[in-house]
Amino acid sequence: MPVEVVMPKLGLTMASGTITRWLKIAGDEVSAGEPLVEISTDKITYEVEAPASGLLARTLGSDGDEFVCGAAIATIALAGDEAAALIADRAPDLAAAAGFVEAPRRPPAANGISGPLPRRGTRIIASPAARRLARERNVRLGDVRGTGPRGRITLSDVHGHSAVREPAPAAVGFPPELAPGRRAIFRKMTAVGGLPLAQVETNVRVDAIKELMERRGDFRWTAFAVFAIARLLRSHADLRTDAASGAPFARIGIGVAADTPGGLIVPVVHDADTRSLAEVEAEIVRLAGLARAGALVGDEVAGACFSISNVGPQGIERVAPLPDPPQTAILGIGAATPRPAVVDGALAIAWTMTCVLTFDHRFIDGAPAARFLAAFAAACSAPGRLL
Amino acid sequence: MANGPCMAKTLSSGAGAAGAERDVALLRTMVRIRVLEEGIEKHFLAGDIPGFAHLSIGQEAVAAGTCANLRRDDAIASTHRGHGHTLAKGTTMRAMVAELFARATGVCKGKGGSMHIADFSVGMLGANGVVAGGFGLVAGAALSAVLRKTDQVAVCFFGDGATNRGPFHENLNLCAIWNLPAIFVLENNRYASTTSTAETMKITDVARRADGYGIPAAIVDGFDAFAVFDALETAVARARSGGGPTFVECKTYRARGHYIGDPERYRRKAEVEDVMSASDPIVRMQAVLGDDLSPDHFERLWAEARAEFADAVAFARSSPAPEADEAFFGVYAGDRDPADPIHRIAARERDALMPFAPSVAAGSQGSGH
Amino acid sequence: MHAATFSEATLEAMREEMRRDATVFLMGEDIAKQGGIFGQFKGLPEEFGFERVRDTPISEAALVGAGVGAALTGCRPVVDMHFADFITCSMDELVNQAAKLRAMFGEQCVVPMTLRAPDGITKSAGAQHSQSLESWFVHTPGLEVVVPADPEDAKGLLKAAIRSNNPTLYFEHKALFPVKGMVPDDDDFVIPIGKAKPMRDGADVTIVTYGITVTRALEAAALLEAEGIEVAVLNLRTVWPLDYDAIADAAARTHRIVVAHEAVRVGGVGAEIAAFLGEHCFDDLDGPVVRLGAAHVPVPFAPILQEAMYPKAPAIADAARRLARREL
Repeated sequence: MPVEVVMPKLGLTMASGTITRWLKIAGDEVSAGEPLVEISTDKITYEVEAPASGLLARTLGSDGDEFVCGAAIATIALAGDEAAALIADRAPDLAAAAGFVEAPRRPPAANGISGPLPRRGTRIIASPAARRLARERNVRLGDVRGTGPRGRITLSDVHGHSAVREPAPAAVGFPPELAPGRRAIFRKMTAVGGLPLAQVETNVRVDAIKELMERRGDFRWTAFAVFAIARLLRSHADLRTDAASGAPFARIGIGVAADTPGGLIVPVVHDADTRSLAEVEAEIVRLAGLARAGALVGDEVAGACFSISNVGPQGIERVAPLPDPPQTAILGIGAATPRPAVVDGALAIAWTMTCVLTFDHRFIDGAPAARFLAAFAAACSAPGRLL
Repeated sequence: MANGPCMAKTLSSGAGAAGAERDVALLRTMVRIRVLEEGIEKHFLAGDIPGFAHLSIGQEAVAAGTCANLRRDDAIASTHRGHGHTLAKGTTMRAMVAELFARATGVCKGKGGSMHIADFSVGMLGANGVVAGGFGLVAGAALSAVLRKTDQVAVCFFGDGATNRGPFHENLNLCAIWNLPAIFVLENNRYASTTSTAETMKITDVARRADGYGIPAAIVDGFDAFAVFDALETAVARARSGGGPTFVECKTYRARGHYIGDPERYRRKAEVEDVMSASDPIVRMQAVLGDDLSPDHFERLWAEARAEFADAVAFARSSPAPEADEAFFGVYAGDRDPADPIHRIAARERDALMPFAPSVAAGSQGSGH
Repeated sequence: MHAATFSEATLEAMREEMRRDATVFLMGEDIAKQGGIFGQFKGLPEEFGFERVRDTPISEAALVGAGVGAALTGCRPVVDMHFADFITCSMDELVNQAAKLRAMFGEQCVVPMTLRAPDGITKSAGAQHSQSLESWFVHTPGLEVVVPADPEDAKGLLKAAIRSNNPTLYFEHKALFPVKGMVPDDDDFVIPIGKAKPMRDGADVTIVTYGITVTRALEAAALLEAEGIEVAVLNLRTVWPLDYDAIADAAARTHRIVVAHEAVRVGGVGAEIAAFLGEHCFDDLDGPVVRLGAAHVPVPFAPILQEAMYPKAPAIADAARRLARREL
C-alpha cells in the first residue's frame, strides 16, 4: 500500500504550513528518514523526512503553497505497489484524483457510502458556507483551524475565529520579489498596521543592575528584563491581554526578539516567571543559538504573552517596537549608557536605559501602561527586591 | 373477403334526394381525403413537413362511411394514420396542413404534428403515436357518455396490428361487460408496418376476436363506402340506444407504404397495382354514381378539393412558426399562471435553455426521414 | 379538527368530492363490493351507486386508458391501482397518453384524472407488492405526484388531486392506512399541490422527506433532541412539482441536509433534491447532502431481510447526528 506524506503539525497552534522547497522530486527513490521537502511556518523551517523507503510517486504543491496540517503533500509507493499508476509527471503539481491513497476508513454512513472520498491534495478544505462567511468577514482561511472531518474548516470554525486575530490585507498575495521567508512577517506587520497603538516611555536608571551584573556574571540585560517583566506581569495582568479572547494569557511566556542571518525571529522563554535569573539567561542563550542555526521548532516561537526587543547590542539608545498579535504589548529597551542626570539635586553621571512600552489601546489604557513601566523602572533601580 | 372488380350499387338506407345528397357527400369526403393525402405526400417529399407521415390512400371509404354517421359531439380516436379520420370528422384542411407544417396556427399549435393531430372541437380525440393507444380513450369516452347521461357514442379506428396488443383485448372486454356505446372500426389493410396479417395471426377474419368478448361484429368491404356507411349506421344506432358496443371489420388496403419513404420491401409492387386498380374506393364510387352525376360534377368536386388544399398550403406557408419559448408551457393546466408552482419551474427551465435555442426561419422546417 | 385514520381520511375526501361534483367517479379492482382491501372505499357504492363506483376486471391498461378517455370528455375519474406495483401494467396509458395529450394537442384538453396507488414496504408482501415508484413519474413531464404523510395530508392532498385539472398520482403507503391523526372538519380543506410543510423546526440539521418517512424522521428527531441536536423536518407532500423554495430555505437555515425516502436511493427523488442543493444552494452547505433510501435490491420476503434494506428512524438519526457533529 502506498504511504502518504502529510504536512506535519509542529506544535499545538500550528494550523498550516507552507512548502518552501522540494528536496526530492516525483520519480526519485527515497529512503526512510531522508529529507523530502522543506516547509515553513512563521519563520520556522523544517525538513519533512520520508516516512518510508520507496519511490516518491507523487508530490503536491510547489514553493509557496500552503497546506493544512494533516493534508497529503506526497505519496511514496512501496515495493510491489503500482507506482506507474500513481505518477502523474515528474514535476510537483497540484492535480489530484486518480491514484490517491484513500484516507483511513470510517464506519460507513447508513446511506451506503463507505468511507470518505479520497483526499484531494489541494490547499485548504472548507465547506462552501464556511468559505462564504470567511469572505464576508475578511478572514483568511489559512488562519482558521479546521475541526471538521479531514481538517475541513466549517462554519463554526470561522465563527469561532476572531476577525481580530489577523485582519486580512486587502491585497491578495505578496510582492513578487519578496523572499518566501519574509512572507510570515509581511503578513503579520500588515495586520498590525491598522491597530491603535500607543506608547509610554521612560529612561530607567540601571546602575544597580550594572553593578549586580558585574558582581554575579551570570546574566545580561535582556535576561534581567525578561525576568523582571515576567514577575511584574503576574500582577499587571492587563499588559498580558490576549487580543484573540480579550482575557489575559494564562501562562507567562516572554518573546525575545532575536536577529539572525535569516531575519527577525522571536523565540519564547516559556513560564519565565518561574525561572530564576540564571535560568532565564541560560534559556535565552540556548534559544539564540538555535535561532542563529535556524533550528527553532514550533512551540519555541509560539505562546508568548509579551515580548521584548533589545537594540542595546547594536549600540542604539531607543527602539519603539510593534506588538506581535495576539500579544497586546511589547517593551523596547535600548543600550545602557552613561548620561548626565540629576542626583540629589546635583549633576552626576548615571547609567541610563531608554525603555519604550508600545501597547494596543483597545485593551490597555495609558495609566496601566505607565504604572507597569514605572514598576519596571523601580525593579531596575532596586533589583534586589525581585531576586 | 374478395375484392371483386365490380361492386353492386348498394343503396344507402333512405333513398331519393336525401340519399343522393348523402352519397355525394360521401364521395366528396373521399375526394378531399385523397387530395389531402396526395398533397401531403408531395409536400413531405419537398421538405415542408417535419417528422413522420402515414398516408391512408386507399382507405378513404372507411373514414368517410364511418364519420358520416356521427354527430359533432360524438368522439373518435384515431391512429398514426389519421389524416382521413380527422378530415372526415370535420377539421378544416387549413388547420390540418398548418399543423403538419409545424405552424402556430395548426390545430395543435404545431405541437402534435401528423401523428398526434387532434381536434376536440369536433370530437376528434387525437391520432395516436402508440398502436392501440385509442382503445382506452374510446372506452373512457363511452363510459363518460353513460355517466353524463348523454347519447353520445365513441368510435375507435384501428388497424390489424393493434388487435394483437393487450389494450385491444382489455378494452373490448370492458366495453362489452359495461355495455358501453363504443364502436370498434377495424381498417384491416393486411399489413402492420412490414408484417402481413398472414404472418401475425392465425385467423383471417379479425372480427372473430370480437366474438370472444361477446361483441356483435360485422365484416364489410372497406372499399365500399356504402357498405361501411350501412354497417356503421347500425352500430351507431345500437350504441345510442344503449345496446352496447359493435365491432366492424373493414377489409381494405393501403396504397402507399407504412410511412412516406417506406421502401416497401415486404410486398410486391404488382400486388399494390392489382388491388388498387380493382378496388380504388373513389373510382368505384364514381362508377356507381356516374349514372346520376355528370363528369362535370366529378370534375368540380376534384377542383374544389384541390383549391381547398392549395388554400390550406398558402395559409400554412404564411403562418408563423410557434414561438420557441412555447416549448416550455402548455403542458400542465395552470402552467401559464405565474402564481402556479409549475409555472415557476417551467419559467426557470425556459430561462436556462432559451439563450441556446436555435432560431428557425419560417419555411425551413426540415423534413422527416 | 377530528381524529381519523389515514384510511378514513381518504374516504372522507372521496365522499366530500363525490358529493360536491357529480362528474367524480371511482373505478378499480375490488373496490365496490369489497370496499377496498384497506376499507378505504367502504360505503361509497351505497351512497353514490355502482354506476359511479365500479369494480373492473383485472385490466389495468383498460382501467387507466378508460380513465384518461373519461377525463378527456368531461369526467373526473379516480382510478385505483390496488397496488402501485401494477402501474407497470398500464405504463403506456399513463406515460404516453395521460401525461402527454394536453401538451401534444396544444392545450385542447385537460386530463383531470387521479390515480390512487397504495405503495410501500409492509408485512413481507414481497418484491412485486412493496415498491415505491414515484420517481418514475416525477421524471415524466405532464404528471403531478403527491405523497401524503399522515391523515391530514391524506385528506387534503386527495381532494387537491381530484380537483386538479392535471393527471395526478396519489401514492398512499399501505402501512399508513391504520395510522390515526387529526384532520380538519372543513369540507373545503384542500392542501395546495406543490407546497411543502415544515413539521418541526431545528437549527442543526434538516431532514427533507415525504410519505411514511416523515414519521420515521420525526422519530429520529426526537431521539436526537435528547442528545441536544436540534433537527428540523420538512414534509414535501408533493414530489412533483417540488417545492424548491422550501428546500432552499432549509439549506439557508441549517446548512446541513439529510434527504430520506423509502424508495430506492439510486435515482430516487432524493437525487433530484441533492443535485438541486449542490447546484443552487452550494454556498449554504456546511457539509455534504446525505441521501437515505432503500438499497438497490428487490424487496425481499423474509422479515429479517425486508427490514434490513431500507432506512428507518435509527439510520436517519445516525445520518443526521453525524452530519450535525461534522463527522461527514
